[in-house]
Amino acid sequence: MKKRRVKKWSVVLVCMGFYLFSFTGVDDVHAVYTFLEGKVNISGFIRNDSAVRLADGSGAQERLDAGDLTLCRNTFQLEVEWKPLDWLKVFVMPRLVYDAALDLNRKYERDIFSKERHDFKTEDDIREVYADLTWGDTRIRAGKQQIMWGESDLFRMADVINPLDVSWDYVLYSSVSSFEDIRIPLWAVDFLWSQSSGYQWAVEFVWLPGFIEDGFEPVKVAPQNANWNIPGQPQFFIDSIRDSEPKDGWENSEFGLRLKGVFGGWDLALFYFYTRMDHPTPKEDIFKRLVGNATTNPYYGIGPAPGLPIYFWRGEYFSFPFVNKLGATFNKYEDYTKTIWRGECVYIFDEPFPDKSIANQTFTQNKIYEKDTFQYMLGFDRPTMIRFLNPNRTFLISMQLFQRYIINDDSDVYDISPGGLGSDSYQTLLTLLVNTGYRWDTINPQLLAAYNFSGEGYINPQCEFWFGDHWRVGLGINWLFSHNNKEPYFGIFRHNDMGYTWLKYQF
Amino acid sequence: MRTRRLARVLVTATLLGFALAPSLQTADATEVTDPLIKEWLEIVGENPRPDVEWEKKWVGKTIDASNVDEVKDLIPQITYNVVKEMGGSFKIEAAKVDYRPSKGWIGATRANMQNKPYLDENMVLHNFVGGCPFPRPEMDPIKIAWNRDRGTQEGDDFIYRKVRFHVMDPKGHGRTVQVDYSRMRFAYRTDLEPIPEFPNNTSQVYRTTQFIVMEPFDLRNLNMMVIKYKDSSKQDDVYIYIPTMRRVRRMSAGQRCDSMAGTDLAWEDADLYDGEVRVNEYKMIGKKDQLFAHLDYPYPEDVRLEGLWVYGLPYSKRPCYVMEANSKIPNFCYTKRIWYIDPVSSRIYTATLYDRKGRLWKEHITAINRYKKDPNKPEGAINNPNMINYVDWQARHGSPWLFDPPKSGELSGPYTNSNFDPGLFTVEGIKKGAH
Repeated sequence: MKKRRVKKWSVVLVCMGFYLFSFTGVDDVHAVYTFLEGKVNISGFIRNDSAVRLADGSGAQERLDAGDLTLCRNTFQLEVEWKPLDWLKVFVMPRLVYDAALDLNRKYERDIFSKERHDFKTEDDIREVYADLTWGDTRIRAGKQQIMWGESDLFRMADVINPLDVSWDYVLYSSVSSFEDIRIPLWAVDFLWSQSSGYQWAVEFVWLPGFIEDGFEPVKVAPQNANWNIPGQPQFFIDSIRDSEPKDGWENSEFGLRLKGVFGGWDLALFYFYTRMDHPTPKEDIFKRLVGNATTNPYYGIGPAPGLPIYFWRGEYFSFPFVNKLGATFNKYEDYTKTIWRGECVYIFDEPFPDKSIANQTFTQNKIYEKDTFQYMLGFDRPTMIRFLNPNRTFLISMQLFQRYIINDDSDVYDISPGGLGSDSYQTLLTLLVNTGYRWDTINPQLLAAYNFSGEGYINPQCEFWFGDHWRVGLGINWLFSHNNKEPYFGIFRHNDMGYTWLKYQF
Repeated sequence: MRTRRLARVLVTATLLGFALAPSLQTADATEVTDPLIKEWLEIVGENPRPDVEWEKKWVGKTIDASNVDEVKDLIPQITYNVVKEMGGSFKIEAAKVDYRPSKGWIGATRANMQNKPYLDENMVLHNFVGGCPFPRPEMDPIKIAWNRDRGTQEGDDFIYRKVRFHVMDPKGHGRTVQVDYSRMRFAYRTDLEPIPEFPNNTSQVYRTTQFIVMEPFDLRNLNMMVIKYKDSSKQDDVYIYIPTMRRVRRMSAGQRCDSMAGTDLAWEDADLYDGEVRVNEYKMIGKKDQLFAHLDYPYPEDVRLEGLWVYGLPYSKRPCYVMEANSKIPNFCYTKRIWYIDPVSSRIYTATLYDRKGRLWKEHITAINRYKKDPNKPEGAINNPNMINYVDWQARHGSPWLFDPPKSGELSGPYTNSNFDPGLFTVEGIKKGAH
């Protein structure tokens, strides 16, 4: 065993050595490679992200201890742009990932099922591939892509189209790269028409064709016993999310429409999205299905109560119902305070919620309620000169207030989704972002904090250092706190404090 | 005897020829024959004649630490410091006319003169219809500031492709940032249809400027867009596309004193000043002769970048306005700027900037191309900077930009009046082009 671990560490060190030294002998390395008279541009990066726990785990992470390496993710990503004609652009983004922590951390090796461990540690994917056809005021983008709407940072509200992959990171990448690396790209056709004059009207129509394989993607969660495994989600539960995905077909298509204009300095947008919920909703007959899939084989699943030798096979326990989301966004610069004010709101019709008996697994009622919900964000960005801390550059101070309500809530509803409302009928969150740059932005500190008024939050100081055109190094800490381990955003991970670093070579 | 006399005459003539050669050359160079240039010089009331005696002494010489004291009065402070203390140098050439506005521009300026534009007590410009607002500003610094803002002809659109900032210390250590810098006028157009304004310009946009970062990778596709409005009392709007967020964020004008992509210039320092006229107080220092740099593109072979300095630039002596622009914005990064402005083109050739404590901080030195006839673009051959050096004297740091040499057919360098699609210069236009 010792020999195997030494071998694995050696592989990682060799890889890191390759990253570090393979390019240093080259003097004239261009940041972006161009070919065919500039019609093809190739850029990309090689990056290592590593994270170590700062506290002993509890709940779903009780087998993990302080000092455990939970992430050693090595990513090689290319971005290839080809513009053969003025009206045609093709973009391809392949990504290769190997998370060495799955091999280096003996607890992962021991506690995560081998198939899931394999799936979880590697990725070889054409992450994005699309073509842009542009003529006049119109652009059509067809292919696998990310589509971003809205004004909010850190928490998503109008950013409704792509689901997230929170399997290997729950909070880290939302702060480092604002979801770009954890959004799951989807096959879509994005039609955008905009006016160059007048009120700069823009109309965007998005179609996610449901008949394409994997046209629908639910949120991707961490496997059982992984660092960000959500408490109460054993492996059979996670596998069952996949089993419950709707079959590919036209009827699974999702549609969105966005209208935007500029009126007297106000950027205003209205949007509508007809979509399936990204998070699974338990079926009303989940109890019957569970009983039908009960077994005494402990390989999959957990017992329904401590001490009982009953386990469950995976099955179609969930659904992803369609909902209608209607929303609006705005931003406005206000000269007196030198502040950008921004906001967004979303009204969701008939959002499904299980009753409490499903949530606490007593299965006495087994009802799914459909409730309208309303959520909004109000925020501001203000650059502020704090001369004694940085005489040469402003600090960007950005705050956001999020609120979410269940309309006509009754006490029986329980929101089980991560970051959900739990048994509350409303939720209030506050976020703060402060960043600046020193020495020509080669030292970039940032402080991020979020607080949920139900009594949980996180604080995330981090700093990135730039070395020349190619190298980036960063480090940071995630400190999560909560008064209990049930709060939906950070409480469930309150002992997952992490120290993390990244090393990146880009070209 | 006859042979000896003939020899004397020949020797005398040769010596006279040598002695007169520089002045003859200068006279040729400055002789104005182009009707548009002549017309423009009449409108602005300028007649830039070379200082023949001075040029006789200096043309062809290189200024370095050994002789910079002799021209100290003709160069700004940081240029002097860099030459004196850090090994910078430049060569002197004869002054040449380099500004040739288009017919449309001259016509718009004449129409504007008839319309009698004026400034109110808040420095807001009224009755402006196009061209140069105050071709004869009569040493009024606010009018000169407005000429710089509206009256520098740069085409109805332009793009500088593959502009590379070399962000580095005197030893050449640092990094680079490559950008495409482009601008489009939506109103007060003079050269390209629709003239003078796009129809249905409901938002009353005057012009839109974009800086798109092409390199390094982590800033690639970052796009900052500044919208100026016809109503000069209206605040500029600033938007920025952040590639990692994949969305366009609105930006506060207060952020415009932040470094542009980590270079030594603030967002507002583009073109030496891209801010608003009314946010400064102005004070005229005077009109004097000064040495300014010129640079053609493609670059001559002897142009090279070393440390904080671009070597091989020819400088010539020419008159300029010298004025102060003092920011009224509390806590703004600069308190005072000294602008050296060409009275013919209204372009800032050099700007010296001071920090909050009034200490000498930065100098921005531009090198403009010299006018040469372009048979392909008879109306569009106008002057533009082919190099700007941003020197931070306090930090001994600089961010000069030069165009990347064109490789394998790629476009590089300045292009004016290319008739861009106006849709590219809107918030949704940014989104369309980005990924």
